Amino acid sequence: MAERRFVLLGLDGLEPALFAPLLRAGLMPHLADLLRRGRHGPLTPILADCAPACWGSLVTGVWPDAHGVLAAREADGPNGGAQAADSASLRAPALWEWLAAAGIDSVRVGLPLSHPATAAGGCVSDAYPGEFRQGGTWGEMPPGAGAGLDAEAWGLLDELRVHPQDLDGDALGPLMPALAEIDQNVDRRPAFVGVALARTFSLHNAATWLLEQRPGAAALIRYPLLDELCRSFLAYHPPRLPALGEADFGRYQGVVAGACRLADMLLGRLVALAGEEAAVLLVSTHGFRLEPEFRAGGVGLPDAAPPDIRPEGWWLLAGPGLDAEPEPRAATVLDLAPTVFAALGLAPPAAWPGRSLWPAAVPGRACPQPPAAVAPPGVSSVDDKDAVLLAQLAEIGLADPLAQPLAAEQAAALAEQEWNRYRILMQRGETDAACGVLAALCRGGPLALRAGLELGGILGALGRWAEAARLLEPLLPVVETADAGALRKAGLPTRWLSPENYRHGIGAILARARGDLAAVRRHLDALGSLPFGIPSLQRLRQELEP
Amino acid sequence: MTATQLAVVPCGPDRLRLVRAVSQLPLRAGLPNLKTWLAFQGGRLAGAAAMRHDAADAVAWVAVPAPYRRLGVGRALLDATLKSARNLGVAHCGTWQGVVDAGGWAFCEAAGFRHADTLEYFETSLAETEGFLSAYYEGARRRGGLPENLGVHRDAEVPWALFKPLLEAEFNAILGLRLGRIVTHGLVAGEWALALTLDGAPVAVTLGSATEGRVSLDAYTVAPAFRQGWAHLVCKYRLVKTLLARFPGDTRYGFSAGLAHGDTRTIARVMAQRGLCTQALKTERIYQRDLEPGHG
Repeated sequence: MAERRFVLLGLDGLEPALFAPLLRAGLMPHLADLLRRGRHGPLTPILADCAPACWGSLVTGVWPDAHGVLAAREADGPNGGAQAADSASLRAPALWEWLAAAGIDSVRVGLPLSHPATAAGGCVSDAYPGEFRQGGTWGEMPPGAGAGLDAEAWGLLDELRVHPQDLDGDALGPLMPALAEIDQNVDRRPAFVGVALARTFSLHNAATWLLEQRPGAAALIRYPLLDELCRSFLAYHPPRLPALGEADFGRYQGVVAGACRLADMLLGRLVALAGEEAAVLLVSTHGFRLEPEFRAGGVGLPDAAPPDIRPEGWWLLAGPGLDAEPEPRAATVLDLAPTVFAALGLAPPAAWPGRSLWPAAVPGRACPQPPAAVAPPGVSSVDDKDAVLLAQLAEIGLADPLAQPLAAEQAAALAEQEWNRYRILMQRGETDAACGVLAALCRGGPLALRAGLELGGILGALGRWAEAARLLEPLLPVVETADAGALRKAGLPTRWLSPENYRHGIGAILARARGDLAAVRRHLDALGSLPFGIPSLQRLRQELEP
Repeated sequence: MTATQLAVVPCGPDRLRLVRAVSQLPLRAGLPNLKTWLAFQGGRLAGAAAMRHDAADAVAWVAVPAPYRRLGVGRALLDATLKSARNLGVAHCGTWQGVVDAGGWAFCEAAGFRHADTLEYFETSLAETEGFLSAYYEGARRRGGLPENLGVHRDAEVPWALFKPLLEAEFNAILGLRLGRIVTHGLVAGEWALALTLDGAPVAVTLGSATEGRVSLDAYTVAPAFRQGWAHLVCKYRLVKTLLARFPGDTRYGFSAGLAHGDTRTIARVMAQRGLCTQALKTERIYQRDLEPGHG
């Protein structure tokens, strides 16, 4: 049994810039209380825009290339194509497996990569409460949504689900005060809010029930409420964006702030249930960019794309024996697993790169290594027997009509994984290895153009202009004829970079390689100011400064 | 070969590529309510069947490669689907057959199915379609006949409940099966939907699927009150324009028209005359039958 209870609550999207005004107004009292008695600070995530990879690192304490989940989708060996990464994708032992090996009970609710649920401790997976049906209810309880629970608990979980149609004006009104004026037959936006609320309410019901039923169990919980509603409604958050109509702004401006307040209420309930002796770790693995150009899209808007992720999260730790620190302290997502261990009196494994945020007065007890996870099947060839049958069909002119698109999907998934491997290597400062991954991606495949531009940019930032030019020169004709759609298809960001921007960026580097500084200046002037820095272009600007 | 060598076995998702290769159906793993079978004759793969169902309707496909026809393979596969549909309490069953295979018609009719509709398939470029329609759209707009305040709803934003009566009235049981699944469960990966409303009233709804480089329009209907005048043109144009923004580049655009869809056939014919669209790529017949308890 652990010496103290530990509750980790994930609230992705909990962005200091969003909640600070609410804190000042006294509208998030439970968060304010934890802040008063705890420590907090910015959190450096890993692959912040990919929850499975980032949360995989959070719960295993290791980098994604060690736990095996590098992207949201992975190659589907038996079926061809790609499939969503799931609990079988994790190759490193997760916190709950370590805790079980140490004899500590745990429950987890709604964590990414938890489906299909596995029984080390109790688990309610992120597939709970089920698939949304347009009628306003959740579908059947998804098989594999729970594990480590008895039949009675499973039945009760079904009853604990809050269906979107169950939510009335009392539940939705705080987020949309003008709800009564909205014709919901036509405007589906209230339904979006209802589904997000009902999902998190269901998870909260499951979490609070498990906390009551399994006293002493460490709890790892994630509520998607804020993340979901920020993705859909951040464009409506004050101040009003110029392109947004006043009527829509009036109806939906309170959704995100209301979600923050609601999250605070749920947090308060969890803290109360966990008890005074509990340690509480609140985590957001990413925020959102609040500048107008980054949050113009959302549900019901011409630009349906969600707002841009801000690759910085936030953490807060409070508990008995932990001195409060008002000044923020930076941490990384890899520090969180060691923190859970230290707070529970365990010594983090030596292989974990992170450092605990919980000051351990005495060395923790060693934790036995859990059994090794079974490696996922990965990309496998067609079963021999089926290969023979497929060959027989080919003889009479029949072939799998999806072979090509599924191969393309698989290639896209594998390229995405390699792209993320490059990002991880860069984050670790392993630039040479990162460039090697990019160079491999450049040779062909769906991300070849993006990888080429990226590698050219890196070489430019390192001052290796000639090498950068050799790489970028053949790409210039491609970019010169591409419109925004083609660039987007090639995986390049286009919301705040137009095809012209790309052309001038390449042009500046090529001109620098030729030593034509006047042309460099022309290209940089044409680029103007971008809403973020590009290292190679920043270097060029510095070189041109007197 | 003898009938004793014929074996029909249920097929798991890991062997779906075999069903696809035989049937040429774009079946993906994870499709809800999908059942598949394989038929083996003398150890060789001799046919495949697939069925999707809900509580009331099932759509079945039976495919037998030419070398294995007239050996009872198709009938055995059809029996397996009918038995499964009956066990699931399904009341209706439909099947699709291609016109290139007239033997398939006879097979369906001998099995008690009736010819319900004929579909023609066309393919063009999304960008060319947008260009083609925009000229007509701009002309109509200059004449002042087009409303500017249409509500556009994408994917999960589509108010399905508002469109449900229109969809139920418009589509046959086979397409209705898919629509019913979407109305109840929402879209699955690879599907898109778009709807237009005007002052809270349903105007048009359309849905389809998308794969790399190709978008297909699988269902499209305009509410009766808007079938004359501007709506058809506006709907088609807004649809294609939105699709082009969503699937940019050199995207192919496939659509079909049944016997009742004269407008769509007319557009396809005019585009084909201008070299913008293929002539009908293929023609398919839809067959249907009720599934009496104990039959088959």
